[in-house]
Amino acid sequence: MSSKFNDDRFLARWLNNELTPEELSEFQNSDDYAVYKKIIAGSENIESPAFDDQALLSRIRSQQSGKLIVTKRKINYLRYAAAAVLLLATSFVFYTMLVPDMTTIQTQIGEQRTISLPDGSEVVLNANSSLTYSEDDWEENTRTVKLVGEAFFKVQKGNTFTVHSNTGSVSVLGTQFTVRDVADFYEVKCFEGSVEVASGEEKEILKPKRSVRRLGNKRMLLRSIKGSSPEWLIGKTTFESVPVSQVLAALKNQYDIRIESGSLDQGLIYSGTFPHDDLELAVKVVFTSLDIDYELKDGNVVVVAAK
Amino acid sequence: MSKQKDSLCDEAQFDAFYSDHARSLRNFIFYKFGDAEQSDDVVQESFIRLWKNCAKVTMETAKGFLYKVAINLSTSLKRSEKVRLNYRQQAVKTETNQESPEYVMLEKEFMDKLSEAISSLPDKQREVFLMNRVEKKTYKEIAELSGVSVKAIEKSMHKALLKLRAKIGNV
Repeated sequence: MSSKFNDDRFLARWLNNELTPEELSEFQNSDDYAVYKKIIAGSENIESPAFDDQALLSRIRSQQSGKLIVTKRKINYLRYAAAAVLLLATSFVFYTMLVPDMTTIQTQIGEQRTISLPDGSEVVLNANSSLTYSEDDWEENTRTVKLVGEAFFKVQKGNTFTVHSNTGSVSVLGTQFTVRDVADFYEVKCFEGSVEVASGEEKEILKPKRSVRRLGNKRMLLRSIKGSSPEWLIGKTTFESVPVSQVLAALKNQYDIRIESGSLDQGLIYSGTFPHDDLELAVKVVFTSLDIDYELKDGNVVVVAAK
Repeated sequence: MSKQKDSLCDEAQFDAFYSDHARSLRNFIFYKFGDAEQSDDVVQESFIRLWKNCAKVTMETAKGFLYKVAINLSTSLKRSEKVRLNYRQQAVKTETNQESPEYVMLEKEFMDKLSEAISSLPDKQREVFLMNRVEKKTYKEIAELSGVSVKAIEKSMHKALLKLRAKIGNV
C-alpha cells in the first residue's frame, strides 16, 4: 500500500494541509484514507503522564547549593559561624588527606559508555578506559579531563577544553575528536573544528579529517582519516597501519581473552576492521589478514604462532 | 525590565523560563525514552546545569542548551524496555459520543491497539509523532529541538504513519 504515495513525506504534508487539491482528493478516495483519519483522531486521546512541575522546581531549588536559596535566606550569624567551623574542618581534612573531589568513570572490557560533562559536552569512552575530571573545578573555567585509554569527544563551544593523557595533551575550543593513548601508541583524530595536540616538545594543529600519531619516542606523524566519526562507536574497531601490539590490545579490550603471542614478530603492521560482538570472527579476520596461525582454546585463550 | 535583569541568573527569569519549558522538555524526553520517572530526573538535572551555567548561557541559547544537555543525559541512561502510553478513556470526539455502546467498545479496542502500535514505533518516529500529535509542535519546532532538518522530521512522520497503518490493519 505504501508504494502508492508519490513521495516519502506525503503523510506529513497531508497533516499539515500541504497537499495539492488533486493529491488530496485522490487520497480521500483511497481505501486507506479512513484508517489514517482514525489513527489521527485516536491519537488525540493520547495523554502524556502526569507532571508535577512545581514539585520538580522545588527539587531543583533544593538540590543546588547556589543563589536560588541563598538570596532568600535572612542573615543568620549563628549559621554562618557554624558554616565557618565546618569549612575550616573540611578544608583541614582536605589539606591533610589531599583528596580532591574527582569523578572517575571506568569502563570494563567490552563496555562503552557515554558521559555527559557539566557543560553539556559529551564523551564516549571506549572499552577498558577511564576518564577523570573534577565537577567542582569545572565551574572555574577549567574544562580539563584526564584520559587513560581511548575516547571520542564532542565538545561544546566555550573556554579551552583539555584532554591530558600519558603521552600528550589536546586543547580545543569546541569540536569533535578522538584520543587513543594505549601502550606506546598515541593518536588524535579530528572530526570537526580544530584541535591542538602537544606531546613532548612537539605541537601540531589538526584540521578536520586529519590525525596525528606518535609511536614510542618517534616524531609525531600527520595523516588523513576517512569517515565522520570513529568506527568503534558503531561496534567495530578499524586500524590503519598500526603496530600489531595495538590490535592485540584492542582485541583484549573488547573481549575478555588472553593472547599468548610470545613468538610473534612485534614489527608487524596491521590494517583492518574487526567486530565487537563476535569473538570468533574478530580473531579470524585479524590473524588471517596478518597471515598468522592461531588457535582459539576454551573460548578465551588465543595462541598465536607466526608462519 | 532592565537589560541586566534579562538573564537566567535572575531568579524570576529562571522561574519563568522553567514554567515555559519544563513540561515540553519532560514530554520530549519521555516520548524518546519512555520512562516518566527517569524523564523527571533528566529534566531536574538539566535545569540544575542550566542554572549553574546561567552566566554563560544567554536567553537566546538557553533552550538549545537545555535540550542538548537533556538529550546527552538521556543517551547515557538505559532506555526503558517498554514505552507506556496512557489515553483518555472516554472518546472525546463528538461524533463517537453519539455512537452505539458497541461502537464505543470497539473504540477502546482500537485505542489499545493504537497506543500499542505507537509504543512499538522506533524511538525517532515515536518521538516525532507524539511531539506533533500530542504536544502540537510544528515540524519546524521539532526539528529545532532535535537538531535535524525539517525534511528529516517530515520523513519520520510519514514513516511513522505508514507503520501505524500497517500495525492497525483493517478497522
